[in-house]
Amino acid sequence: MTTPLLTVKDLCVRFRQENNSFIPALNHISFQVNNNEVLGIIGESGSGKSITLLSLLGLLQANPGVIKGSITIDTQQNRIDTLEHLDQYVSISHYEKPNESIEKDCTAWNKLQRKRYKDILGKHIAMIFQNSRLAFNPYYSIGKQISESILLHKPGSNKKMAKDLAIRWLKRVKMQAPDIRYNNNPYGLSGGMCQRAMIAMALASEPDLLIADEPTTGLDATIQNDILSLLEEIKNQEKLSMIIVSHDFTIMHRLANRILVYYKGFVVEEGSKNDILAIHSRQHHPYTALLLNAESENMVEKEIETTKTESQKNQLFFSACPYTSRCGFRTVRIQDKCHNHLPPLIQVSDTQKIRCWAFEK
Amino acid sequence: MILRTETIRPISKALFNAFFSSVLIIFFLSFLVFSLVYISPGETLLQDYLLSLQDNTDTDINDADLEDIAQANLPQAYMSWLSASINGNLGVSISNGLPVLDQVLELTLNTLYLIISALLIGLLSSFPLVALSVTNTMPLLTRLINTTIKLLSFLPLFWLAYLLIYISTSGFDYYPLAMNYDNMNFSQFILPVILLSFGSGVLVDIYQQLNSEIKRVLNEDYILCARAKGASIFKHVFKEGIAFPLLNLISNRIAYLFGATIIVEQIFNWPGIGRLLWQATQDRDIPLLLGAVIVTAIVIRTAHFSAQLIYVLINPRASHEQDK
Amino acid sequence: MNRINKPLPFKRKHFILRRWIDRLIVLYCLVVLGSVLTAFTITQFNIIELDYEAMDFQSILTPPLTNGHILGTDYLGRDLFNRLLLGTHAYLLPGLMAVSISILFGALLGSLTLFANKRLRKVITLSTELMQTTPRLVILLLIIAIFEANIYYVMLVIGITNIPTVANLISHRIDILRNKRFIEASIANATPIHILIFKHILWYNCRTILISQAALGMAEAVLMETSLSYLGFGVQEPTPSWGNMVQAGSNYLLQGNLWSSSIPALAIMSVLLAFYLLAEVVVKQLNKRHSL
Repeated sequence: MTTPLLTVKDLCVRFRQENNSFIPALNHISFQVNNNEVLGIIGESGSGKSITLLSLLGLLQANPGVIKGSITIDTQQNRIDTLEHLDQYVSISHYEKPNESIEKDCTAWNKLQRKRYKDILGKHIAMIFQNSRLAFNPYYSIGKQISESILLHKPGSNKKMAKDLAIRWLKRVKMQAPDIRYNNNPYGLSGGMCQRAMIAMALASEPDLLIADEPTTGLDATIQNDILSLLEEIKNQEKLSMIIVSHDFTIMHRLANRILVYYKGFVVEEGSKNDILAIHSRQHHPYTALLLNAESENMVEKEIETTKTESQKNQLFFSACPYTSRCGFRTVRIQDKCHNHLPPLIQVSDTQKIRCWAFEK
Repeated sequence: MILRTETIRPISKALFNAFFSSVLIIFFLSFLVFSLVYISPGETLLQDYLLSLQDNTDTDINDADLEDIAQANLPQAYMSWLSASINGNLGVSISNGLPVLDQVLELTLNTLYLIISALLIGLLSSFPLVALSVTNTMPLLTRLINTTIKLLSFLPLFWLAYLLIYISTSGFDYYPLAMNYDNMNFSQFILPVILLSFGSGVLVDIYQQLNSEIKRVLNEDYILCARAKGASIFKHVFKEGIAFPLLNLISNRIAYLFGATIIVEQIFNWPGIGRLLWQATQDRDIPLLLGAVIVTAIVIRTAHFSAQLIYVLINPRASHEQDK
Repeated sequence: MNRINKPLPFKRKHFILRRWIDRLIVLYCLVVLGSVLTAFTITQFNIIELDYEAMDFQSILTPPLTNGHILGTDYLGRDLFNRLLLGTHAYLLPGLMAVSISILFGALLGSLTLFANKRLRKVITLSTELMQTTPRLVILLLIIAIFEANIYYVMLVIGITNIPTVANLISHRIDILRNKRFIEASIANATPIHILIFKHILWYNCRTILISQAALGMAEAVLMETSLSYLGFGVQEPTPSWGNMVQAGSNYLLQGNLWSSSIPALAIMSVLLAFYLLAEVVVKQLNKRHSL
């Protein structure tokens, strides 16, 4: 097996609050993305999915932001660990205790990251966003922005070549009358068309990894279907890996090879598509079971509402399982461990890992 | 760039609206100003002025004409003034007997040199400060610059001028000579331009506006997308963060800049419209004053209109918003 | 899209420092504006006998605190402090007049957009553009040339030229308020129109605009008056106005005597600063309490 395209190990992200405590946005995130594989990330709002994507690209503008971990991107040209030397810029004391204190030299770190990501962003990794109309610069036409992507990342291209290539990509994403749409401004296009244009813009630079942040949320049902079919087609035809973030299981059904389930900044379950989406299996994290249950009951994607009070108790989760307060899997046998120790990711089968004490051998 | 057939019609409609309202405003302003002259307490003021208009057209004046003028009411008087001025005849200055329009036009050019250079210098000197503030490289220094610039804007212009002259004479041994009409020397240019750009609040406005607008634009979603593409952020921020605020700023502040020019020109004896206005007011020279006011208004309105023109051309949304 | 806003690092000492700076700013505004008012009342009602024209030939162009002159003297030996106090006359009452005209009529005009929206809005926009086409100073010079150099005429014109600005701001606010149902609700409740306009709209919702425009208008009135007196068209000698005090001392400034010109200039600067800061502070306070 070739080395995986993207390896994330032990990524931790913190946000500083006004009273000098820290919100643990991501804790101990580790996963891999291999070539030609689609990784789905599922979880409720606020569980850290978008934050993972942004920190993958070094676009997280937060204080302090990423404090620990390693992100290794292995393309054909080179292999780079973008979080190298992070410990030189961060000083952590009382890590994962209630009186955690973190200092980070953000300006210098951001400068370093900009330098590091210069060759990766757009060229090897491309991202598509949730709100497509806002993702385009409203003062330029979409064709111009697609050509800009081509001009930046394809060596030896000039304006005319870029324009032809852009029109070809627009045709590829099944947009009607691509040469007229080339000159359209983003505000004049419907949501579905804008989304297609954004996909064209991301693919135009021929990346190795495509990251999609909730690509179909906010679109009408029929258009969602269209976009999904488009993504499927792209997945089959181009040699791309994808990371798709959503809170909707239908996307996972159609596109994902492997799935990660997020809860409150932790990866609580990781497995292949068949493992996770097996509704009647008993090998699930309780949260995944809840999600699957809700989805199958209504046959419509359902987003679980978090109660706001939960988020205040974040600090205590390092010394306990984050899901204890809602958990239905607690038995007397493991109760102590659930309240006092954070469970590790336990390998329950070849392809599945669950972060729950109930599955400990 | 955007001149496609389907977009030409909204653009031309927007521009036609702007042009039409400009013309309307100029006429209305001239009517207002003229009626001020009309209702002025001195009885002979208006009659002398209208007479002077007739004088220029080389026709004989008989008593019937004089009576006409004496009994003209506002619309008739305005009409006769308007017809004369559209032909380029704005009357003759009371103080020196020369035709008004020629004097005024000659001096407007000098003032425009001053104003445009002041704007350019203000822009150039604010760019490094704005860049420093936006990229947050030295936060303490940025705070210091913020407060000093804010305080700088409150210094009265007329006092700052003398202070600058004092500093340049005693500190740098540079004596700004009185304006030499024959050969306009570059060195005489420096001090008035510096004063106008730093003392009249142009620098402050540019700095504060650009600062806030660029910071606001940097938080927009499309900038994040541009970053994810690896595109040049400056190119994406430029239109909304720099170009539009500057256009807006210039069209809002150019009138104030003309007002500040009056003071600057009076101090440095620069032969421009400002000094003309001041002198004409002192001499109570109504025809000259009236002509200068109208020409100033036309110049400022042209600046507004060109700013609107540029805005409509580079902003694809502008012409469409008006349709709604 | 879930945007993550950059939270600023919270440093306790910055917070405390910021609070002290705010208090200092309020103190400064109160001190300066209070002293302007006291200066005005003292000189108006002659509470303390001050001589504005006594020429002390022993001390000409002296710096402050010499020979019993608190702020020094000008080129004729007149005491600068007394003249400074008298100079507040030139702008205080006329400025108040200008501000009240612009606020009153601007607010009324702006509130009328409740009823006749599009046409009135267009009129207001056109008049704003009209006011922006000529520099205020130029129109004032015209007025002075045609009529007389009377400060009340000047302030009348300043007030009138500010009306469209205020009306514009208020009509924008009303536009935003339209989407809140309370206007329709109060009309349905048969609230009398004058209460609707004055109490609900203007006082509760637009007071930040009105108060800040009042402070800014006052600052502008001061600036215009001092510029005009500097140019020689405002208050004439020997009556002092801060503008013509600067002008009188300007030639001596070039020779190195800084004080007689700089003291009135610094006074102008502090009053302008006080009005601007007042506008900012008031807006901040009212927004804090009213945070929607």
